[in-house]
Amino acid sequence: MSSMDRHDVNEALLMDYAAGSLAEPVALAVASHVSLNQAARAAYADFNRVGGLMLDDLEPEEMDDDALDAVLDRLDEMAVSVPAPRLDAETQELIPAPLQPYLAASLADLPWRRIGLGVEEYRVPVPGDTHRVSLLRIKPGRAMPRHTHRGPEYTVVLDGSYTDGDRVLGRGDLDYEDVADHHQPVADKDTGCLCLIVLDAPVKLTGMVGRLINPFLRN
Amino acid sequence: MLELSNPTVASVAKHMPQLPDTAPGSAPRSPLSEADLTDLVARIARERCRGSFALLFRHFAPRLKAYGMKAGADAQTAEEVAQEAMIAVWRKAETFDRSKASVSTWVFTIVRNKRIDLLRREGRPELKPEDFAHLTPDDVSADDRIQHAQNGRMIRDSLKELPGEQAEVLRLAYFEDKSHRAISEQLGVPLGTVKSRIRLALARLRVGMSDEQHGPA
Repeated sequence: MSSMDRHDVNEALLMDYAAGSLAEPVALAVASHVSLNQAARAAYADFNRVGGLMLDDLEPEEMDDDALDAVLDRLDEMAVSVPAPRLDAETQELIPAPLQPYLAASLADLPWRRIGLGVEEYRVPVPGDTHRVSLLRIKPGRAMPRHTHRGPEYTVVLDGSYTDGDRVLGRGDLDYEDVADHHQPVADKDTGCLCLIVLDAPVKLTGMVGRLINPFLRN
Repeated sequence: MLELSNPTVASVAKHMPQLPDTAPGSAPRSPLSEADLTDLVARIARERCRGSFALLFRHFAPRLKAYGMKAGADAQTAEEVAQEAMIAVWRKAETFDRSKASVSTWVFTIVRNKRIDLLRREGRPELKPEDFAHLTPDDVSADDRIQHAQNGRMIRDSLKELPGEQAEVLRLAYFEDKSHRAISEQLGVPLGTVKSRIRLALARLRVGMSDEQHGPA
C-alpha cells in the first residue's frame, strides 16, 4: 500500500465508524471487527469520546417551546422492535452481534453457492446496491479465486484463518485491500476460513480459474 | 439555574448540586457536571424519573439539535433528530455504563445513530453491551484510560485551541458525515495527510491511540 499502512487504514476506518460516516455495508465490516477485537474496541471507544467532546462543545440551538412536553408525552410509547431471526448456537458463537440481524437464517441453513473449488458464498442482503456483502466459506487449504478490485475490499475473519502473502489473519482481524492490490488469500490448511467480505465495487477475477468463475461473481 | 414549573422536576432540581462547573478563567459551562449527568441517567434507569429526564433534556436537546443542523438538516428535521435521540436516551438508560463512557459520549453515540437513521435513511450495525461480556479483563486498562481522560477539563479546552486545519478535519468527520476518503477528496490533500492531521488533533486532545496498538497489522 502506498501512502498509508494497513494499521493506519484500520484506525481511520474505526474513526469513520465512530463518527458515523461509513456507508452501511462498510460499517458492517468495521462493527464486526470491533465486536471481536479488543484493540479495535479501545480505539473505537476513544473515537466515540472525541464525538462526546465535540457534542459538548457545540453552540446549542434553541428547541421549540413545546419540545419537552411533546417528548414527555411520548416516553411511554412502546419501542418498535424488529423480531430478530432465530439463530442456532453455532451461528451466535461465530457471527458477531452487529452482523447477526442481517442473516436470514443460521449458517447451516443459508443458501450457500459454490463459486470455486472449496469456496462457497452467501450474499448478505444489505439495503442499497453500492456494495457487495458476502460471507465466504473456504475449505482448508483452498484459495479464494485470484482477483483484483475496482474498489476497496474489506475482509473480516470470523472463523479459522487465512494467509495472504506473508500475513496471517485470524478471527476478528480486519483486512483492507485497495483497488490496485492483487492478492490471493489461502485458507488455513487445518481450520479453513469463514470471512465477511465487503466490496466497494464488483471484483474482476484474474487467472485461469478466475476466468472460469467470473460469471458467477458478477452482480 | 433552570426554570422549572413541573413540581417533579423542581424537587429533583433541589437535590442537584448548585454548582457552576466552571474553573476560574474558563468559559461558563452547563450547570450540570459529569457527576450530575451520571446521576440523572441512573435515576432514569432505576426509577423512570421524568424530572431527571427533563433536566437531561434541557442540557442535551439543544446540542443535539445543533448536531443535526451541522449535519445539514433544516431546523425542523434537526429538532426531530434531537427529540428522537432523547427518547432513545430514556429507553436505553439502563444500558449506560459509567465505567465505559461519559454521559456525553454515550449520548453522542445515540444521536449519531439517529442521524444515520433519520437523515441518511440507513441502518446502523451497532455493537451490543453483550459484545463486551466475553472479554478478558485486559480491556480494563483501556477503560481506565478513557475514564481518566474524561476527568480532564483540559481536554475540552484544548479542543478550542486546535490549529485550524486539525479542527477542520474533526469537524468534517464528526459533523459533516465525511469519511477520511471524502475529506481527502474535498480538501484536495492525500489520505495520509488527513490521517496525520487527525492524529495530531487526537494527540492534543490527549485521547488514547496508544503506541502499543501501533504495529504491523
